[in-house]
Amino acid sequence: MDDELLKVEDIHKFYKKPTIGNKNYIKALNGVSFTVKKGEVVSVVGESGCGKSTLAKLILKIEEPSAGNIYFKGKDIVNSDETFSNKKYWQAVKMIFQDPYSSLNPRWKIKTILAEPLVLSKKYKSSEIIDLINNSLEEVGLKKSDINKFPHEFSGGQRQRIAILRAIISKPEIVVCDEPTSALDVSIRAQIINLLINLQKKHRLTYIFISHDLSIVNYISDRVIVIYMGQIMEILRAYNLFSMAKHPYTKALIDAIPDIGGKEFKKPISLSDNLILTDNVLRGCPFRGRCNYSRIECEGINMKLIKVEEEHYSACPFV
Amino acid sequence: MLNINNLTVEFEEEKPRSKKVVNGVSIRIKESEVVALLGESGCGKSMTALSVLKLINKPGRITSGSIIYKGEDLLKLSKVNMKNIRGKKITMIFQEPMTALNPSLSIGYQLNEAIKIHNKLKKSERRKKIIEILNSVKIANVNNVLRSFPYELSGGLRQRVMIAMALINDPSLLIADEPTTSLDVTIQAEILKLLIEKKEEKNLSMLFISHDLGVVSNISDRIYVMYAGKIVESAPNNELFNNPLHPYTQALIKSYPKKVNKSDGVILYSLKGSVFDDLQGVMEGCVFKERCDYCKEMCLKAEPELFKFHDEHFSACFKSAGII
Repeated sequence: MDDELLKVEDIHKFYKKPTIGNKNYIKALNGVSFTVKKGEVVSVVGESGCGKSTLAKLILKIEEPSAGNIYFKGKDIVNSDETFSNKKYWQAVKMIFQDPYSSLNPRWKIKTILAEPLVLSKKYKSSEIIDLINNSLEEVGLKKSDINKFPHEFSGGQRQRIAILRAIISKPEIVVCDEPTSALDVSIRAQIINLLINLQKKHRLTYIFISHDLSIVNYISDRVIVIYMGQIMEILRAYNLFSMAKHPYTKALIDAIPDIGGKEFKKPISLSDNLILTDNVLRGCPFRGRCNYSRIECEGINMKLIKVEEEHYSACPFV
Repeated sequence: MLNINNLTVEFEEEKPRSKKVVNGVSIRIKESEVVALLGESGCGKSMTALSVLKLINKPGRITSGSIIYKGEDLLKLSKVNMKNIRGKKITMIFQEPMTALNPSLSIGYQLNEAIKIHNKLKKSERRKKIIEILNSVKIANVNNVLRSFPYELSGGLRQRVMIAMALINDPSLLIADEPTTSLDVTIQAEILKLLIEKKEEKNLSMLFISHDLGVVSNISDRIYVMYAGKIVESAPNNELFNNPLHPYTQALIKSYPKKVNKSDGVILYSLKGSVFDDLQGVMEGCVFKERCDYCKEMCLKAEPELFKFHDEHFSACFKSAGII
């Protein structure tokens, strides 16, 4: 497709266990493929340890995949040659981190923090940089007088606004958001989500939104990718998330969201927290140990996404 | 059963200024009732919980109020008597089980210690009790867990151990301070289910502290909403979500994404400003005045008391009381 921006193709990431002489690997990602179109918000959902942050690291090229390829606008960024350097790639892909307390340098003034991506891009004169910062501060709800302050003078929500502005100020193509709201309070969370959506519409940004909170994911994204133990379980349109989800794991996640409004404690689909640690399990469905629909065949199946309908794929062949 | 009256906790920062982190809070918990304290970070909900167990450290200090537990004022008890209540009659579960458990002692040792302090039981009896309680919180591999250290367990298992430890001396009141915040949603649902089961089985009362509307709505009978050190609204569970009266409660409920997509054309309601705005400046008038959409002149000067609406529904707002 023309507007295909990022294509992740069958990537694997294995980490060596730290013990000496150990030949076991932790399989953080195990054959993940998907594409991201321009102007789209794609969410990656999963529990902690499922590999969603590893995926972010690979997309940002902080780490190299063990196998597989990532294409950005058709160019292979894993085995990139001189013509498409890391520096150029990092101009196009930016990140917003979970914790706004540790992602801003405490010794830098806000203007230095915001100027850094612009200076590194080498596209702007220093006078232009100051103008640009001044003009864009209000866009994220900060005051012009804030540029001479230090990060500790701001609250968590304001810091996250600074981190968002830093990510988008140099007009990147893709912004990877790693749980940008989970360190924030409920009343601030809605502000930040609305800000992210407004900026996305205004600048036609592309977000890869990593989160474990399905209700936020459902609100903000166009498409949702559900990951479990390093493998994609289901891909579907966010609009259909609650009504059309097919995979037992997606359903369990949806069920686990506590509903507000009245005390009718619905029994969540029971998932034990005694995971079978799938360190050595390469074959079969990784979810079978916790799945209510699991059967003997699950041990032998090849994990493959099966098309349910247009833009909806599920890895479970039985449900 | 537990009656917190007009509790005030102050932090002395620089003399002579001191900061009231809990400001005249009154909470009542009945026998076998789950009461939730809902609020954002920094609103004083954890401080309220810690003062029930008298665990507030300097520079914090309980400056006024009383905490009546079964007819006794806990604030007037001696240290020795308090020890008999803390960990036996009233127990607590913390948010982060990794920091609440001792990393250098085995789970078995820590559970054993919890019984030993409060009961005179033989070693074999203690062991029997430990295995019983671990089974009852649905830990499958008890012998393995007893021998392991906290870092070897998953987050969900660790929290189960914490719950076991809190229940092992058959308390009558359990204080749970954000017990599911650090867990995944699927594990969170399991832990909530477990807590409800245990509550029903043992006739426990619970003070459940959380910032998560969904969790609170699932577990509690009555809810107190706290903001900047004050209770702004209290109501039974259903009543609060169906008929919220205080603007802050209304805003919290409106800003919770309810299974909608942005393409539905729904814009998520967001509260202006942050708690910070209300904690600074003049400590006069309503605590919520800086962020409230309905703020009038009266709100800046006079402080609204908790007005009564129904039997158990109170709200500290002039507007909801019909005064402005």
